[in-house]
Amino acid sequence: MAFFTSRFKLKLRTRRSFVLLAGLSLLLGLGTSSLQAQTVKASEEERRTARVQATYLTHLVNFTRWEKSHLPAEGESPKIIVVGNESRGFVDSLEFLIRQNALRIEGELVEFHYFENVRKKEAGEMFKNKGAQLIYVLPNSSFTPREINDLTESAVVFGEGREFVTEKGGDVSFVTVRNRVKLVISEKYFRRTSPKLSSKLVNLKSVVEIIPSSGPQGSIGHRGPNFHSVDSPQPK
Amino acid sequence: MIQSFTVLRGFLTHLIVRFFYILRLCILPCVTLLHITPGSSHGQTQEESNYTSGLSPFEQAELLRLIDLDIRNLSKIPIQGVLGYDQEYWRNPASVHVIRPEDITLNGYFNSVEALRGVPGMHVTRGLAYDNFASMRNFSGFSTQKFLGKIGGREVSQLMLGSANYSVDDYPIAVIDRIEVIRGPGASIWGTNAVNGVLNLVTKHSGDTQGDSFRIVMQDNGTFMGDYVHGGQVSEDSFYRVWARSQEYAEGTLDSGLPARDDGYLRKAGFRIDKELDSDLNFYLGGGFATRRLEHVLDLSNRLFYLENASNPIPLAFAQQLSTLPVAHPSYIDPATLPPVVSYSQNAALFWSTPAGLISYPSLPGGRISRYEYYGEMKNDSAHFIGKLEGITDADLEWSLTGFADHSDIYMGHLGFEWEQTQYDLSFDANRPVGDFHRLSFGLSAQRTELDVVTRVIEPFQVGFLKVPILDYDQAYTSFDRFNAYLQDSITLSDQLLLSMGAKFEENDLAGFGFQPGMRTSWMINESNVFWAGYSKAHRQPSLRERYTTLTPYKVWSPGGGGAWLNQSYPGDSTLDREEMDAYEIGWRLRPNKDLLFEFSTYRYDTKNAVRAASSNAYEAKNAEAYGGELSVDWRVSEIWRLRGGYSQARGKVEGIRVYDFPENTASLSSHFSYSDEITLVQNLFYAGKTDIPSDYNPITIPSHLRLDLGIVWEPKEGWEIGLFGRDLLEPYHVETMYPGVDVEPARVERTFLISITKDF
Repeated sequence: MAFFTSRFKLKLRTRRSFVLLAGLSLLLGLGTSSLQAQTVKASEEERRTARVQATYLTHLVNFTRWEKSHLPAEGESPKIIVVGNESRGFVDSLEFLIRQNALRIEGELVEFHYFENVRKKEAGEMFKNKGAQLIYVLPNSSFTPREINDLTESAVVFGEGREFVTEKGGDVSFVTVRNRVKLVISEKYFRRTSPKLSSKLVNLKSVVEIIPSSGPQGSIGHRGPNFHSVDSPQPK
Repeated sequence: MIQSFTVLRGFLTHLIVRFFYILRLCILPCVTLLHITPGSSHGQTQEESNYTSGLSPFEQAELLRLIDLDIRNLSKIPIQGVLGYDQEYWRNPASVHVIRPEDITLNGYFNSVEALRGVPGMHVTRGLAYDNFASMRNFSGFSTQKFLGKIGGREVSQLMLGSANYSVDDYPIAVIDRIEVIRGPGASIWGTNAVNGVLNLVTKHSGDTQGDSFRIVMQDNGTFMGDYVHGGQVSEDSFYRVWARSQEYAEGTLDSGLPARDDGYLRKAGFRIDKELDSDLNFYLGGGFATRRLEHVLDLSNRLFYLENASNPIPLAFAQQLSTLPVAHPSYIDPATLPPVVSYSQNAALFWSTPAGLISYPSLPGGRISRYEYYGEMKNDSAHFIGKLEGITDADLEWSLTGFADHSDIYMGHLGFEWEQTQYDLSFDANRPVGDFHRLSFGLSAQRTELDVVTRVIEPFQVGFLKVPILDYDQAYTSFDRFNAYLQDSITLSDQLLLSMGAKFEENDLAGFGFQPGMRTSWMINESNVFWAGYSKAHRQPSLRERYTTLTPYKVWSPGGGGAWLNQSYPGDSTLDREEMDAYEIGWRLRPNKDLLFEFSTYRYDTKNAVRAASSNAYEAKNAEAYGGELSVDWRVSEIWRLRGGYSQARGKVEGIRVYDFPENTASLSSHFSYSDEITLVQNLFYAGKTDIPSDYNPITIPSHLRLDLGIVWEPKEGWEIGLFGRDLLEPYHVETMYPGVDVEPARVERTFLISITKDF
């Protein structure tokens, strides 16, 4: 136990180790910053937005129910497909979460696909021939929700910006308001039989804005908060 | 068996310290290798690497944290953060450890304070059966905690002792969201008293505690704790919860083998109502009360002295022994010069005539005197209400208005000292973006504290003509105001470099006008490494105990002129100024992959007017310096095994002389191994170096000790946990601390076994 009790050694060791650690830390930091040049990426805020969106989306899959007719044939996996170009880490984040959590739709492991704009035709063929359960339309994609609905009826269509739901016919969109990521959800997503979102989300007034759909039963839930999305200003 | 434990303990002690020492010296080369190839460790397949190549290890780890949040809490994640607010943000330029509720239940801890044992830089000790004491980094001393405690949005420190009673202020585990332990001062954000750090216990939104939850913990010695929480929904946007806790404390044993008579109970209950008033406009109202009844011991063995000569008072009991020696003996004392028995036992004859054994008297080798233990009631009643309104405007101004009222009544019957503290606090906090690269945060707060202090002379101390209590308070100081304002800017200098600068301004009846600037920066060197550094000037206000109480720990019989009892008093120092500390910190956060995190931080504190207990039981201000560092490792070795370890070094000097009232080395190692989906094996090892506890009569050294806890947790179905734990397994008992100054004999921390049953919502 002399290891503990030698004050001289302790003092010497303490000084030596702190100087060593502080010095090496600094050298390591300086050295490695040049070793690993940071690739040009979107700003940290954009990347964080993308991570939160990907997390929301993963949660919403668990709140959604698909009828058997909207699921792939036996032996095939349900599909989540992202279309468009991006560089802020959304696709990577979503793919990571899907794999890490072994995400399932109606008990089946999800298959993830990503099609950049140059592969639009390939994506369209997949929608038409194999169907999809969730399609995320990135802002610069040339796909529109209506175009997707014409190709497949089984998919929930996600996008960004309020007008994606209010004007373009999408089911769900992410908006960034008041420094937070929130959801704009079409009422039809709650009303239809499949794919159908759990009505539990109706109560989250601060999180969800529900866009009423004109139908015989009128609107459900609240009209939603006064979201004035920075990326889709509310018309006055 | 005991011998085997001793050998094992010695071996493990040696092993763990060697391990951390070697780890410390080897860590840099090792991690360098690791981080040059981020994401390639521990068997990740090439396919997995490709999947996540676009995300940094920090981003992957954050995604794993985000996915654990429900949608309500996910919607609270800010896109642009205020540097220093989001403690779990990997670029946060501070040394932070976050404790989750499962860290408490899975390790078999009774309450949140016990979970602090695993936090590098913190030292948790048990003095008596019912209290664990937490201190942080150097000079935390004992009763005066030099860190800020916030529980459920309230600052919980008592002005009288400058400390908080976390066992009383604690919440049921089911309502705790997290406990943030922030080491080092955050002057511009936290303000006065956040000298060595901040402990911030955050409770959950009522909407996250819907249904019923309970937790029962039973220890083999009879100690019991039961929590019950019920949450419900009033309307689509209104939620509530109510909770209750009952705790019974079994009696412990003092170091001498005498009963500690520290058994008793704690009852507490509380509520919280949350309402969404509008989109991004939320309100909550919470409250609670607690009542605790215990007994507390005071060692009165060395309280009556005989003044043999002007410079050498000796215990009266020892003088009585010397009076029985032959007259020719050089140490003989004339019995006629001793105080008449009636002079000190007229009100407590029974007490002084029935000693509880003998103890040695250190300054007289071979001498033994009678031991006297006095037990008094320890009462602690408290109640509080807190309300908070928070919102975000369309102009992105995030704001909150918080008000609380808190009343506590604490009676230390063994000392005859009681105080009631009533505190009102109102604060406004806000932040908003300014341009693309700045986020400005600012706030104002006002606090009023009122005190009502009552002192009594305990029966055995009703000695002599002038009956003086052990602790007496200057009644001229019973009302204190505090106002402060702060301004801080979080600046994004580049994608790699963040900077925060700010200052807190405070006008305080106890510390005067103060200006506490702080500057912190965080540098993301690459995807796996973050460096941070900080400078803060932090203040700590002296406690009322240090300033306005007079301690009369003993009485002296002066035999001259027929003899008389004299009170030996040590008044507080009302001129004690605030402590001012210049704190320099450097830290490094390294995440080679999503499953492995190293955190390293070093600090140096230069403190002016550090309040220290002087050798004469009074307090005085001295200049002090402290330095040290912490290393922590969090490694998910595989899907089924998680290892967490920590090591800290702390060195302190007061006017150039080393002090040891905080252990110079502490270490911990925790392992959670999932044997199956339902069974988890838990192992915790803690090491604390020796500490010296100063005292006029009985300075003691608490030896270094190693603690091993083992447990097994069975989850028979989702939401249920049944745990069996053995704690302090390496030895039958050890001693961890004692109250200095008033000399309470330390109690044994004994080997215990417990069972816990937890049902989540």
